[in-house]
Amino acid sequence: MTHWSVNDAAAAIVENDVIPKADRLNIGVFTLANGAVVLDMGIRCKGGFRAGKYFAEIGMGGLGKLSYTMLQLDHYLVPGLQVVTENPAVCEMASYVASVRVDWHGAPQVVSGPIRAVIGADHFARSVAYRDPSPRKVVCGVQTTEMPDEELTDAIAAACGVRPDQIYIMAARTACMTGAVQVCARNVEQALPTVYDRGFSMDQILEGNATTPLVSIVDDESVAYGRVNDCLIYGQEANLTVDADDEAITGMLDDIPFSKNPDDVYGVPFQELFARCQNNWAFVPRDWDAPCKINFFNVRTGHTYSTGRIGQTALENAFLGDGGRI
Amino acid sequence: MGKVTDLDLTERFSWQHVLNMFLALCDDAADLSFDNRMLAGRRMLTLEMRLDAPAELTLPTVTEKNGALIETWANGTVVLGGTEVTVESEGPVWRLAADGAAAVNYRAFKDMVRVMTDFGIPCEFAWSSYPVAPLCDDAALLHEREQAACTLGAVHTFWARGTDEAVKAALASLPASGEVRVQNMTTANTWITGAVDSEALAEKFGF
Repeated sequence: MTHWSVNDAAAAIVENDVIPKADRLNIGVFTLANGAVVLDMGIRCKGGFRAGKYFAEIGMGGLGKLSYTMLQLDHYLVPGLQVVTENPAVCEMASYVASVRVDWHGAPQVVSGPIRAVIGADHFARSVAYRDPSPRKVVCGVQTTEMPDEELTDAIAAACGVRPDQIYIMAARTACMTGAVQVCARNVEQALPTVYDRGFSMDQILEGNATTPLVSIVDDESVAYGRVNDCLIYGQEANLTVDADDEAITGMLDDIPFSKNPDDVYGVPFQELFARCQNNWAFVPRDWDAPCKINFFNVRTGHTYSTGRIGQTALENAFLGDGGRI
Repeated sequence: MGKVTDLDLTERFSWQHVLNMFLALCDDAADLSFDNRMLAGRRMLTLEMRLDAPAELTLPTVTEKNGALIETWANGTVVLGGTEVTVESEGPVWRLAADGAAAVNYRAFKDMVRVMTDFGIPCEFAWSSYPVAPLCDDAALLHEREQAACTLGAVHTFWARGTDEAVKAALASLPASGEVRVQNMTTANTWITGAVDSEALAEKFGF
């Protein structure tokens, strides 16, 4: 990855594909006093399927492609999405993962996207050697209900070693189509930090793709937040092609998936689990932010391993709410 | 005169251009693709339509001229059949064989708009999936298969706002349209009417 700038690639998508079509993408574009450019992809503007696709592909620094598909639950065919990545460690760990935290209005705001690769200061960016030290523009994304302002973009610039006027910042709340898509698109991402935390080198991951059902887009931010996370912990399935000793895979299989949690956790809607943690990620056990299912394909031995299972009932509950057949 | 594109009247560009045509009819606010579903042991092609501004779509006005159907949408005109027919239009014009692959997909697209129109509550977003009816030279049989695709095989999810009572009442008034689900963005509940009947659809498709 010596000749690929995730930020320049992301900026090219912003400038060539998004800003010129902002109106039909239901996106707003405006420039802050400090020169940062805000893309409202789902705060005041409504966004949509295509805005969500762009949010994810920009966030992955041009190394990931999102396509929509459909997935069969027990009783319902539902919309879903598939992400295919190049160099998943760079695409996800150096770029798309949401792990830079800055203070905004006195509270932490998580930042994702290629901007993290400039100095690579956060925990997951340090899992790869890749850096994108001198891009022309930088791009980041935030999941928020408030419109980004000078305070936020100044803080991001300081944390990531860039100037505010270099920044394109994408923003969407969770409770919109863009927000749901960009979270559900964190399906390859959902797998990598978990295996990294168990000592699996990111250099050993050759390819990554994943699917997630897209079962719920609703107006209430708390409900939406819970349900998009239900889509990940009960519906995400990733395929990782790796080059490793089999023991490096088998040694962590049982410890990886969300389904390893006991019955008072597995099957419970994430909104309820999050409430048990005072709606604060700082109190969420690491094992609750886990992949649903991962299939490993080991090129070194030709062996295949799978761990985790799809939570059909939890997904159908997230799809229906209190509804059903009339 | 707008640009005229011959999809499959005298050319053979049905599959490549029909999605572009839908995108233009949606004024670019859509994500469109072909996918597939299992049906009686066969992996059948489906048309997948995801709309970002479905409330902007209204059904076309339809006229007939020398055996051709001329269907005028807000963003262009679709002409089915009638090789000798000329159409005066400022916007784009797409020419389709009356019963070719493009027409089969086009009628599914139009059925999706019909279902949304019948539903009556403006939708924020929409996703519809239609099995593509197998082509055949017998127009009556083809139309029967297309009808079956719409009533037995189509799956729709609409995202709309309102009370649950209003959503359920609107769903209850729909004619047979496959399986229609409405996710009420206001209440976070999903209401469903109709169902996919794969067995009956397979029979109608000749499996």
